[in-house]
Amino acid sequence: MTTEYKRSKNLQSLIHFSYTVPYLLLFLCWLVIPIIAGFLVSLTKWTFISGKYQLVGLKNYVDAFADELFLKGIQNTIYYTVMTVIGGNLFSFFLAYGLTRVQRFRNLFRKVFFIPLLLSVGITGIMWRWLYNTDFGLLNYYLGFFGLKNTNWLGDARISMPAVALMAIWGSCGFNMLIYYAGIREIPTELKEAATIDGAGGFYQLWSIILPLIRPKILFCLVMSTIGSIQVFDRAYMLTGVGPYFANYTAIFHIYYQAFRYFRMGYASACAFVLALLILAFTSLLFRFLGKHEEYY
Amino acid sequence: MTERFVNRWIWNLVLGLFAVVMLLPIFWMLVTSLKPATEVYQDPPQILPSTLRPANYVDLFQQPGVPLVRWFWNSVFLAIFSTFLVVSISSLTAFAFARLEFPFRDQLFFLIVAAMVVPAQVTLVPVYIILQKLRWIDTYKALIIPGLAGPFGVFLLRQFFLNVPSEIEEAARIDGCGNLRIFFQIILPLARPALTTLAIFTALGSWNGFFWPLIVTNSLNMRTLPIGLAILNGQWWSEQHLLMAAGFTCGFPIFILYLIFENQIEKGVTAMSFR
Repeated sequence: MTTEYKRSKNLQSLIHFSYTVPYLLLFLCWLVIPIIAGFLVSLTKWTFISGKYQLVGLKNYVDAFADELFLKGIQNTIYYTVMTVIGGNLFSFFLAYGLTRVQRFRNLFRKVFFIPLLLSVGITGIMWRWLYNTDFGLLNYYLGFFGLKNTNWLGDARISMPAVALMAIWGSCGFNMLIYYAGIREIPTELKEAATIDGAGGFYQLWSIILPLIRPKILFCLVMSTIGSIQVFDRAYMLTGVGPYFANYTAIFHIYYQAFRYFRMGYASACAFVLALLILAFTSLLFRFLGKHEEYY
Repeated sequence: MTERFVNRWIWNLVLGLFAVVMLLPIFWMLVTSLKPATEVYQDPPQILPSTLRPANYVDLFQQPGVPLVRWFWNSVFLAIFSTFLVVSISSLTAFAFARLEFPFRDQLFFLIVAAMVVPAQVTLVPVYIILQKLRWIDTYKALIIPGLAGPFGVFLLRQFFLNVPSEIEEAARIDGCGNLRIFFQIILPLARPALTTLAIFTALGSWNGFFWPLIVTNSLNMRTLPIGLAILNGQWWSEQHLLMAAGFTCGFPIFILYLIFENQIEKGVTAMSFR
């Protein structure tokens, strides 16, 4: 009886485990092994075409930190990240807050603000490059009303990265807006009413009721947009490529070029790990400052 | 009361202004796509063109060496297919991790969560080399299969399945339901919101994917829509009207889909943040 029971129990465990096998195989082949292999490759000099490789230890990492182009890429990436994360979240929150203040056109506005998110970066890229056109673009035309001279948005090294960031904010604000909007609406109305009765103005309400209560949402949006922004490539690629004087050359550009143009697989892998550490550092900082025993949902 | 009324209309005005500004790039794309080639490059630009030329859209599809329809279908096919696979594989796996028992279950799950922290670029080189060895470069397999390993779906759905009350499951077990019936007839229907969230994110991620398709495809016919448009973006300098027509053609179907599934998409997005 007991042995039979035990055997059927084992069989049951095996059947239960078997449900996870398809995923675990994929997980092993395309994630676990590549992560380990990626680290091993980063310790070698491997040009891929020749197929020969030699172990060089941490040399690739040392090289990465001495590579001016890579450092420039990291610097540009951080510049872009700061602009889009701060600018984008402020704008998204502003839109979300505004949505809770209007009634009749609320649904219409919400739809409109979400639309840019659906267009793939291929479409938004060509759209904005035409918009930014120096002589025939709509942006310079409208700015001309304010007496501004034609600006070479994508050709001027000082503003080409902000131009990419502006497109990014336009293209992705709808996502965070929906999350902030839902967060503000979840706040019990009694709280707001109590504050109003106590004579709290709109700003006080915003600062001491809404913002603290949606802190988990703020953390979530900041983390998601930081992770997304540090991996910026496509938007810059569509608008400017590496940009004037490499102004839009991001860290991913560097990895892409090193791996698939110069076939320095080991070096590219090392750069990827450095970038990964940067992402981890940024997100853990955010959690440190904004997260207190929050549950990931 | 009046103060509140004024307040509301100020916000209406401000948001309305932003709505117009945000739609302007799309409107400008549509207008440019309908202009005759001679009127595209004009200073000052004509917001409302004097002559409309819808034939641009016919011209677009007659351009040699531009398989626009193929690119579009590649992207649609990839989005549908990988969403279907991700949702089915993740849900079955998440079900086992949430509701069934087997040895090392929690340790395995911890490993999966830990892998979620690792950003995608670190696997780039090895995955590319594996695909190269398998001769999968420039195939749909290369575009779909490595992406199925992402742990996010398993994580999201497990969290949701954990919250399904166990009484329902126990009652079903007493009635003689096996694991799979419980999965298909109880857990999955109850988890529809979470499945929708996962589906939307997978589909949007695939539809907007850029870096991966750029690397693993190289023939013109295997390119996805974003990459195809990037190619045109580099080639067409004086055919701005055609470029805009291409962009509008590809954006329009998605817009219609959005209008149809708007509610589910919004619920899906908002369900995904920290609680």
